[in-house]
Amino acid sequence: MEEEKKYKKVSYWSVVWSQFKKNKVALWGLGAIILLLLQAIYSPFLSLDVPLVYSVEGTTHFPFLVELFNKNRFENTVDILFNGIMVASPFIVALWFVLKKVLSFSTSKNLVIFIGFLILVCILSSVASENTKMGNKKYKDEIAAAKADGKKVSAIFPLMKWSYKETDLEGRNPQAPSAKHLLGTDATGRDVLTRMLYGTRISMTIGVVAVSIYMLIGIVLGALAGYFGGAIDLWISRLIEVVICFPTFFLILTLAAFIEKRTVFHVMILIGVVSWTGVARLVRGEFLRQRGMDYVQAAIALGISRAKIIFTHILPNAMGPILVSATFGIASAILTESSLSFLGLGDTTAPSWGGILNVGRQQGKLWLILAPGFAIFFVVSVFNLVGEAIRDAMDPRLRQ
Amino acid sequence: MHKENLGEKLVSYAFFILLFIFVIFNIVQMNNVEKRYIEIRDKLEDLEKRGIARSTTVTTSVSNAPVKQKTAVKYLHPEVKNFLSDETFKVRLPETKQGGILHRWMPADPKSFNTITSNDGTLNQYVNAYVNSESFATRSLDNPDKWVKCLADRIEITDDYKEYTIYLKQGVKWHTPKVDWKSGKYDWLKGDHELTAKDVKFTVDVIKNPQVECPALRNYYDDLDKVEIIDDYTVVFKWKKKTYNSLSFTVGFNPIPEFIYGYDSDGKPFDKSVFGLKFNNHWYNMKSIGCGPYEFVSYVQGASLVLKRFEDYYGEKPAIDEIDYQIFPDQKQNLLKIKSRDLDFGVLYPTDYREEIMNGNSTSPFKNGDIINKTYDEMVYTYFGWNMEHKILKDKKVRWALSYALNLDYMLKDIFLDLGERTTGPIYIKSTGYDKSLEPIPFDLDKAAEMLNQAGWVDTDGDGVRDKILDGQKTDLEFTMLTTSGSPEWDAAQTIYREDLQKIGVKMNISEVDWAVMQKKLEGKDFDAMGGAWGTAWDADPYQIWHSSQASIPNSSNHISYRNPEADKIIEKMRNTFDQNERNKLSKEFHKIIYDDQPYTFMFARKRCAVWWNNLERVHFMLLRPHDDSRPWYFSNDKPVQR
Repeated sequence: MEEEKKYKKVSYWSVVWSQFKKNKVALWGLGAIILLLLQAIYSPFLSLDVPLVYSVEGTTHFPFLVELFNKNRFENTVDILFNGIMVASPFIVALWFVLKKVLSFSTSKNLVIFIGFLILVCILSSVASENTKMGNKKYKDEIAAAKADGKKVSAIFPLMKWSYKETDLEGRNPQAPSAKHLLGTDATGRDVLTRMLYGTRISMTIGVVAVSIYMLIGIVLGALAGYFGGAIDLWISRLIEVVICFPTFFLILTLAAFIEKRTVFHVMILIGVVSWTGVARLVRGEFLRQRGMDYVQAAIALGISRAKIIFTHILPNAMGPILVSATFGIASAILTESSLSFLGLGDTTAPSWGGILNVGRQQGKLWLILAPGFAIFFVVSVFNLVGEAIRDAMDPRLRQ
Repeated sequence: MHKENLGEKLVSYAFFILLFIFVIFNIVQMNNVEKRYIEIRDKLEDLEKRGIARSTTVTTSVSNAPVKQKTAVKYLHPEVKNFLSDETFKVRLPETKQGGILHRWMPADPKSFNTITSNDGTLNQYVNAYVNSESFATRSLDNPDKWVKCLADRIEITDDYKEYTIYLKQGVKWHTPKVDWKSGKYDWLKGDHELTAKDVKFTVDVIKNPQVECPALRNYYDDLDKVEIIDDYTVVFKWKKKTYNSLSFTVGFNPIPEFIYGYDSDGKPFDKSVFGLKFNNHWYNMKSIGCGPYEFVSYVQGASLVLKRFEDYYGEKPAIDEIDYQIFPDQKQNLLKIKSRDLDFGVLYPTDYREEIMNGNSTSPFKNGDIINKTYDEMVYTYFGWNMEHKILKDKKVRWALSYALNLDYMLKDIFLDLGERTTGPIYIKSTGYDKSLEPIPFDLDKAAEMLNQAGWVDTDGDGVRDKILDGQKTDLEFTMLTTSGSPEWDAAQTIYREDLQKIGVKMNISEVDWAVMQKKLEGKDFDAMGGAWGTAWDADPYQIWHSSQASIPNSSNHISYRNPEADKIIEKMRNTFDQNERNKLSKEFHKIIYDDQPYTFMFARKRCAVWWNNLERVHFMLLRPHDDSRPWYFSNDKPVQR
């Protein structure tokens, strides 16, 4: 036990973490990211037009849980997935503790198990949404009608009673901020604050998924080029140079214009497919450096398969710079998605921050510009702060 | 074996290389021969032309003399009543003050000024209307059912509407070409040029030339048999068939000057075999010429376009000396330039209209009387079109239900800001053929739901979307709405429609695409439903959009594949009916059929809000395009009046 503790203290990642902890601003940033993630996951508790529980004349209904997987209410797959995570999160945490107690696995396996859980939740929630057959029931209208009839009604709603696509046509839209709509409404009467909250989900997913896609492409191609060298390196390097030649944003713009039913996933794939070159070059350089090292030679001498050498021996050692670029990548992916939506080429139905900003520009309303603008600024700078702190923490020359 | 193979290979390679060299040699040789041939032919034609030129100078000097004396024209059919009416719209009132420069906005650069090959809305509205859209006669601006004299004084039409005899006004001058006179290269263009029958014949030849890039325009002249020149001021148009279209395309014929468009920049007439190609890329294409009230002065791409009053104009000259267009695409800049009085006249977009006029405070120039605003009708209607071959939307009941579910009154009030009027059919709302007795369809979700129930669309599986067994398959009531991206108003309208449809169990997906993609999809009829707008005309021929013969043609305007034998009958009958009352009756019948079928859910006849500084007087909006024709306007003062 004592030995293990000692060993842990000198591990590379624990050194990095101790360095990271010294940067107070970055710690706050990390906290902000975790808060944002929690907010994204628990948005339905903050704002939804479905009551948690309501009773009419003594009969009590619990529509909330089922409605979370109603495709007519949540039209974006992203929302369904986040709802699944929300429902599953207590169970996941409990299960994780149990597993840890029973199996006592090492920390590096945590990540694998975590990703496994995520995939499981995704599959389960999509199955649940496929099997949930419900209309877009207007609970608010129903409850109001029951009240008007003089029935005994009681209901508990989430903090705000709006869904992100519900149009409020009672006032002259866009409505200015008021008690009813804290951040006003957009041109079609949709509550801006609710859209902002659900927009966090879109931004986070775009950041993580798009970066994962291009990381995957970049790491595989870069590793192949760096490890094998020769003709493979030549071809992959030329491919990288060709792709680098295209101005990324304009390439995405052009491709986006030709997709007819754009969803958030199209945007993720677009960003992922065109921005892998930086990572590929980074990984290639790292592999070129590591290839000549003794431990790799030893592994080759031991007759370990190439795939194993590449992915389990060299890659973990090359992970540092990749992680840093991924953190910055998330920020830039969020920015790219916002720019696309701002130009009207994002998902038109998804409540994206860039989309709200675009409506604000068209309508010339302050609350429609400031809210999403600030949100984008905040998220991007937080991710950049954290990325910078990781980079510094990993740099041995800056070690304190 | 191997060696033999190699030898064989070598021989075949050598053979191919030789063949290639021969081919190249041949091409070069043929080119040389052709060049020589063309040179010789040019020489021959030059000689011929000189001969002709001599004779024409003689004839023009002869024909010039009678112009001054204005000898009476001999009519071919004196017994026929003149088709043209005498009344004219008074362009200038006696109190009109002459002078001033009108600064206006132009949103885009024209690709070419050639009126035959370019079909550019911007160009037509801003330039051609003043420079070169003078036709034999125009529809009267007060009563568009009548035609008034323009380039022609008299038009005789035979009873079968197949032969039109046109008597041109004498002494109509073309503008002076804007070329570099000092270089001496253009001396051949010197002197006054008069509009004659030769120009008319030339224009028809150009349109009928298959090499010239004007397929749409040529289509309208397919039935034109021939044009005969009787004398310098008399031409006869002979049509193969009696069609109503022949009337507007003969009487509204708009000639172009032969002395420019028939010649190369060094004064050589174009070779007949390559005429079309030369004409498409004509050296005068980036300048404009005509015989209208304003002449072209200069054009700087992306910056400005200047027109000046033509002092030799044959008709009533407008009061304003110069029209100065500033070219930039941004509408916010447009608004700022109006406010700073860099522009005298402009059009406001709905969001600007809301900010400046509906919500503007009393000190803003739009509210204190410095800038005057007025909304006027545009000849455009907007609609949602339903693909008539779609398995769900081909049912009339479904289309009616979808029309009931569209909250047009709210949209008109809050999104389109009353810049429009509810319309019920494809006829221009102000024209005499529009049936005013047809009521706009109200917004009624209950009725829509009931109609869907009647049509057999019920939500059987409780998933919130109605379904029905179609061809043995359970189908959800779901379709995709195709529109172009970039319009905030359309975006908002679709969002509201989508929400309302979901309330009654209809699932509408939205597909926003680029205009180019949308056009391709419409041409291929590859869509369920679409949102769009049509520009109409005063007396439009519905054939192009509504006739069933157009439904099966790819690239046709009947992209929703509307087929109705009854409507076909009326459309065909209208093409042969010349009596206005009879036409109005038919038009109303047609309107009723379209209304009953609801192939489109008609939205609004669009309106625009024009704004201008208060020293601009007599701003008058025309019933016909261009609605903002500036000819009657004048400046009362150099500076706006303080009110």
